[in-house]
Amino acid sequence: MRRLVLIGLALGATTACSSADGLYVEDTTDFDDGDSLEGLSLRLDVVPPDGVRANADAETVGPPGALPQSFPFDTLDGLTLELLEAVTVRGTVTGYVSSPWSVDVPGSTLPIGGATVSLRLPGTLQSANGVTNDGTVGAAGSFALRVAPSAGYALNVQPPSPLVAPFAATVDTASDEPVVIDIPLGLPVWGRVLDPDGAPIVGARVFAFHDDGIRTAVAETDSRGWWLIRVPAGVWSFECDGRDHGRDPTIVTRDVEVDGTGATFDFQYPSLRLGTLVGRVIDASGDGVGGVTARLRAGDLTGYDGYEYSSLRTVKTDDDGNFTAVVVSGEWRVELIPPDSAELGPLDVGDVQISASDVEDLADLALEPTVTLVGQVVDAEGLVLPGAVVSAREQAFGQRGWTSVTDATGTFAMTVSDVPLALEILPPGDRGDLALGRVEVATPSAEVVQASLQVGVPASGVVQFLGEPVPFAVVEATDESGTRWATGLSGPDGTFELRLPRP
Amino acid sequence: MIDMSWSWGAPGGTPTPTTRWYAYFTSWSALCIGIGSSGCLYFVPIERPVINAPPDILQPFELEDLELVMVADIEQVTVIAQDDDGDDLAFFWVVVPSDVAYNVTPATPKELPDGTAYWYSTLSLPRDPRLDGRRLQCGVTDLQDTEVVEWTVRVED
Repeated sequence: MRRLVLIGLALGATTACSSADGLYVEDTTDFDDGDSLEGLSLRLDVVPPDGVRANADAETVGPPGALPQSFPFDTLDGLTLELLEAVTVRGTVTGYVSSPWSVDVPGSTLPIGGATVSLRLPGTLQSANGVTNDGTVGAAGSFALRVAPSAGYALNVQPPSPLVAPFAATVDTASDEPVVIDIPLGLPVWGRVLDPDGAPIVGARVFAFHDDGIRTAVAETDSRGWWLIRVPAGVWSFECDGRDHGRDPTIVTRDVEVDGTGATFDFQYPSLRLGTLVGRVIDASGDGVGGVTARLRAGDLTGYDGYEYSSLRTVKTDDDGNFTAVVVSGEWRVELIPPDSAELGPLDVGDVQISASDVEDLADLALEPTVTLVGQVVDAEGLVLPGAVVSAREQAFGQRGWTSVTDATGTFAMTVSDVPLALEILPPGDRGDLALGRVEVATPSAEVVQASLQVGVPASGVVQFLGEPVPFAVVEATDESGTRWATGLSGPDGTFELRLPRP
Repeated sequence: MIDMSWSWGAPGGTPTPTTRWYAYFTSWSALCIGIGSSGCLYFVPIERPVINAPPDILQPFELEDLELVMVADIEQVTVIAQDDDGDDLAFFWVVVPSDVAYNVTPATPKELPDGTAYWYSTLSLPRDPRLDGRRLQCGVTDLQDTEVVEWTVRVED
C-alpha cells in the first residue's frame, strides 16, 4: 500500500546582510514573517551566455568577453552583477633538475614543459587549468590561463616528473607582470615498496599529496622497488597502489614530516591472498542481464589491520549476466548497478566475505524492475501547479536521474528505481513567486508525493558586462557545498529574479 | 495529460517518454465539385497535415562543430529553447562515460512579463581527462520533434 507523503517543501532560505571572508556571507536576517536564517551562507554564480563567453576563452582581436564569475550574495534586491573582462595570467615555470641518485652530479635549472598549472579562486566557480608549453610551439615552460580578474587566486604547479617538487603560490590578476616560477630543488622523500618477504614490488605507483590539494606526479618503483619524490618542506601524505596497479588496496601513509634532509619510509604490503566472487544477475523473469556493474568496496580485508587503505573494484556482467571478480580476501560491500537504459533498479547485495583461494558464489541476484513514482505539486494555497518540473536522482548506486513535468492537474508520474531518491521540484515558468523545493523519497513504490511549493524570498538584480545588460546569463545561488538554492535566467534587459526557499 | 519522463543519466540511451495524449487533427473538409453538366456533386476528403513547430534553440547560436574546451574545474553549458506552439519542453543530456559526476539543471521554464516563454537546462561537467574527444549531446524535445545539440569535449592534460 502506498503511503501518502505530505511535504511542505523548504530548504531553509537565506539572504545576506553582512560581509565576511570570501564570497559567502553569514546571514542573520529575519524576513517579514520572522524566519531566522542564521548561519547560512550563499554566493551567486553567473555563467554568461555563449555570445559573451565566446570572446573570453582566448586572447583574440575582437570584442571583449567574460568568463563565469561568482559574486557575494550581500543584498536581496538591486543586485548588480557586473561581469569583468577576462584577463590572461601568463608566466614561465623552471625548475632545478638533478640526478635522482647522486648528489655529486650537479643539476641545472631547466624550463619545465608539460607541467599542469591551475588557478582557483577559493569559494567560487572561478578556475582555469592548463599545461606548460613543451617547447614545440612557443617558449618551453610558458603558460597562459584566462580567468575572471581577482586577487587571491591559488596557483598550483604540478610538474610532470616526481623529481621536480610541486609549487603553490597566490596570484593577483591585477599585476601585468608575468608570473615567474622557479621551483626549488625540494626535499627528497624515498623508500621501497615491498612484499611481506621484503622482496621488491616493481612498478608500484606512489605519489604525495598535501592537505591544501597540491599533489605530485606519480613515481613508479624501479626494479629494486625504490621510489623517490621531491616535495617542499612540510607535512605530506603518500599513497601507493601496490601490485598490478590496483589489485592491492591503495595504502596511505599520512602526516610525514618532511624537513632538513627529507624523509624516508617503506610501504610493505601483506601477502596477496586472493579470493574469487562470482554471481549471475537476472531480471524478474530469470533472464540474465548484461552490462550490469558489480561494484565492490573494500571493508575489513585480511592482513590489513593497522593500515589505512581503500579499494574499489568494478566488473561488468557478460551477456548472460555472469560476473567474476578476483579480489583481496576479506569483507567487501557489493552493489549491482544496472545500465542506464535498463528498466531495472540497482541492488545492494550487502557485505560479502570472500575467503582466500576460494570461490564465493552469490548465485542468482535478481534486480527489481523500475516502478512508477506518482505525486502532485500544489502551491501554498493548495492550487495545483501544472508545468512544475520534477527531477529525481538516486541517492546512491549509479545516481541515475529522471525528469517529469506535472500535468494540468498538477500530478506527475515517472519511472524510477525503487530506491531512496532525492527530488527537486522547480515551479512552473509562470509562477515566479515560488521557490524550488526538495524532498527525499525512501520507497517510491510505496509513497505518493504531495508537495507544496512555498512562496520564495525574492532576490533580484541585473547582470551587466561593460555597463551593458547581459541577457540569457544563468544566475545560481549556491551554498558552500555546491547545492543550488535557486536558479534564474536573465531576461533581455539583463534583469533576473531568484526565489529562495524559506526555512 | 502531459506527462514527460526522461532519464537524463542515460548515456547512449534514447529517452523513452511515457504516455502523452495530444489532439490529432485529421480534419475532413468538404469540397463540392461540379462535373460538367451532370450536376453530380460529391465530397472529396482532404487531409490537413498536422504541423508541429519544433523546439527553437536560441543558445547555442550555432549547432554544428561545437567544441566544449574544459578549462575550468567545472564547465557549465546551457541550452535555451523556445516552442512556438507553447509545448512544454524536455531536455535530455547524454554524457559518456556515465560515471562522470555531472550535474544537470533539468528543463527550467521561464516566462517574461510580456508572456514570452522559454526553457533552459544546464549541465555542469567536471574536468575529467576521460572526456577528451567524447561527444556531449543535449536533446530538446516537445515530444513530437527533437532538436539535438552536440559538442566535442576537449580536455588538455
